[in-house]
Amino acid sequence: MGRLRAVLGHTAVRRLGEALVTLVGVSLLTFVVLRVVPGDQITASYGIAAGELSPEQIASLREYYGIDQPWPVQYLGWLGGVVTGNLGVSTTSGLSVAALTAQALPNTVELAVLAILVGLALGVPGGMLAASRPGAARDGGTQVASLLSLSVPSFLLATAVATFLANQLGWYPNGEGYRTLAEDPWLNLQQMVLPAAVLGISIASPVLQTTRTAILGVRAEDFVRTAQAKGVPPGRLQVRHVLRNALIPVVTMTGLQFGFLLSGALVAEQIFAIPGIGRQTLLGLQQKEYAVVQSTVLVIAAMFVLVNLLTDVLYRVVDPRVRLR
Amino acid sequence: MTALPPARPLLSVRDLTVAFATSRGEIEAVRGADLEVSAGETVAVVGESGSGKSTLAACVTRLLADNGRIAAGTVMLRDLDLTRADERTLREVRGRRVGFVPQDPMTGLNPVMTVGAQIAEALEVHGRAQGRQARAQAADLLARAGIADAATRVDQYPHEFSGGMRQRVLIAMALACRPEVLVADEPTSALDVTVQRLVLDQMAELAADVGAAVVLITHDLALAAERADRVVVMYRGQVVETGPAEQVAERPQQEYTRRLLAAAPGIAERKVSVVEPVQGRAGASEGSGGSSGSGGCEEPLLVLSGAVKRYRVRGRREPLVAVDDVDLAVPRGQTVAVVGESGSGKSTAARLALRLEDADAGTVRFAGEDVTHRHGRALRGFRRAVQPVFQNPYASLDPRYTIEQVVAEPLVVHGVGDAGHRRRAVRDLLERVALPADLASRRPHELSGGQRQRVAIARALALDPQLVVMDEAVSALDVLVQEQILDLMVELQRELGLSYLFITHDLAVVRLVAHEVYVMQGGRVVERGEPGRLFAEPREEYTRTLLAAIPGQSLVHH
Repeated sequence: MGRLRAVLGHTAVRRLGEALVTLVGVSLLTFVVLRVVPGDQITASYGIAAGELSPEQIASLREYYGIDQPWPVQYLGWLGGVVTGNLGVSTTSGLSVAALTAQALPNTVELAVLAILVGLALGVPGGMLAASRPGAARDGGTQVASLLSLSVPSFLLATAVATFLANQLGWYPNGEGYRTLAEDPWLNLQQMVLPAAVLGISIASPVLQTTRTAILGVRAEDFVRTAQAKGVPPGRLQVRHVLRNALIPVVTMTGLQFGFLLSGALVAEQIFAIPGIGRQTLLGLQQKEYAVVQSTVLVIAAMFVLVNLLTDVLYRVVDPRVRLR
Repeated sequence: MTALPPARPLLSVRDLTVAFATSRGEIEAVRGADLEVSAGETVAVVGESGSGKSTLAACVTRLLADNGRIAAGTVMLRDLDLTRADERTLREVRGRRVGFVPQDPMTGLNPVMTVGAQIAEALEVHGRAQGRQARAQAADLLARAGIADAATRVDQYPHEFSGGMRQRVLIAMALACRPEVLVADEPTSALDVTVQRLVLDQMAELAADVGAAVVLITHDLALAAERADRVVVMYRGQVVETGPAEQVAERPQQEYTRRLLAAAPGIAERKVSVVEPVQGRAGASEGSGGSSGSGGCEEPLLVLSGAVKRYRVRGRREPLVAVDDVDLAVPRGQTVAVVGESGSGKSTAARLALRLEDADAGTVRFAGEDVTHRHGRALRGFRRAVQPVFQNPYASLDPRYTIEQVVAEPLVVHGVGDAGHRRRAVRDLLERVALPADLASRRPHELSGGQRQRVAIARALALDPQLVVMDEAVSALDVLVQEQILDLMVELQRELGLSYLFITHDLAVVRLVAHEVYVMQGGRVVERGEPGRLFAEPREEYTRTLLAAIPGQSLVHH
């Protein structure tokens, strides 16, 4: 009993348990919502013509799509498949969801990583600049810019970028189909730059605000004065004492943003025609392909959980106070 | 060889005036202050908060707050005028020629750097040592500052050190480059008395070792007189008295100095008279708690008996026994003090007595009733009758509330009276704690520390409690303010028949106000008794250590 409690008390084991509960919860919610929403794969495939189908035809279609069974049976059947590594099959494309995901996920991950890099590259120096003299013109300027980037909806920004930069200035390899990083790295990067920038700009804003607030907070700390009192020059003070501490909340913030990006930057993927996980979900929804949506959402949730775990690990690296616990 | 000119003092502050820009115009925190420190000397600057002593200290490193400026005067470090020095020169002075030890060891160290790296940094930025050599020197300094096992500890982070050890790290850091002057701004006021003594001893030793003069900033005149060669007393930005430590302590020239001295808890007169131990009272308090044979008035107001509290500690098989079979009784109308260092279990014992936590064993009786297992509604009467006052008057008042709202809140929570009744009640309560009625509309940030603590006491009194628990309630206050609050406590006790449970690490304060003292160590009560007896003839070694740590013992004449 004591042994069991000790094992359960172990952080890693508890985390894993929490992750499992989260994933089951997400999958149940997805399952129910999909079925509560009117329409199914039959109406999606046949449209109005679905009304002209005979009951026998409907019954056989329902059997074909696997939606003739009671909900619990459907759910457990799907879950059993997932546990044994079978995510289901997309009936419209004939491909397995696993194969679809294996194609889409790397694109989404790449886009998310690039967007985060853009966000950090803009947000951290921006926050440092704003915090360097609070209340001054540079502070006001960065604040306005950051507010602007936050309040412009990403679909608008993406459309504007696509229209002006891509179409009129030709900064985007139009007319080429999407190439993955493995297929054609150079072309792929050209295709990724604009969507990554669009997403990165919207991430830069919270990163900038977090950095600015954290720096101002840290600068008022006693240990900064201690460092000054031992004669540490300004550059070193800024980097080793102020920034190093201010990055702790920025890491948390970035991890969260990364998680959201992985759930598929739907708008950017759609506008820039990147076959990512967001588009896969959307297509699945349009076709009412229950298995595709359920499995894709599950994969997204798993990625989210994974990123949170990674953030925690990274957090331990940046903040020694968390390491011991 | 020509004759040497008369030795110029190491540090000399002349006619220094420092002004701070505030929303109410410029305020002069230091006015025409003089200070002189010779090589190897220890000079204490004494005063209450707001006297300008810390501002004076900040001028030596030129690390004033952004809104402060030196309006007049000079600060000479040998031949260098620090008030005119540029930032580059100042950086060379800081750490290399002037070491600085800040007040609060808990916040004074960078939490994400190892202590070794932080000490080594002082050596590195002044080109004294680099890399491994700097690290080795840091370990050596740490050992000399009194940290055991310094070779391993040097690679640990600040959070792995206790407050006293962190202060030693800060001292090692300040003295790393063998500066000529060490400025220590209230270096031990955040520490337990026993630790305080040790840290001050080690600081003095290490400073003498590297040949640094010491400027010791403190609010405690007794401590200053004991530690310094010379004492400088500051009041409202001005130096009011200066002289050799002995002279200032024994023949103070100024009225203000005399008041400071009289208020020093190690020296001051007791404020309560000795209560004759009633026969059988001890029996009732130590007994099993079931002996209800003694009448209702005989039984103490609060009785904690056989209390045990264990905490599970991660990574340890055995639970930590925070409170180990403790008996404690607070008689009606008396003050019972529980004394001990951090970790002695005194706060946990108080929390058990207050039913803020459940004991693993033992009983709590209040006003003749067993309240050990009461919860929720059944505990409400108890909650009303017992009120707390906490240590930090800056954190225990909601900054968005007016003083009136703060004081009236217990009445609102317990649904006492209507708005008009509460308004009158607040006025009476403020009068009771000697605060002007017009403070009612102010907010906490406009009040001084002492005023805030009075507000906290007024709030505690709002529900007409029988027992007030003072959890280190005067520890954060200056001696003079502390004395006023202690006087108020005693007065309220006389008028209202209040009982106090007084939790503190400061044995000196206990002597002034307590009728009975419990000394705790490692979760157990090691000694208890009437303070006069306990101070005169302590039976336990631990009590003797605590007593010896009270600053100013050597100055007590009676």
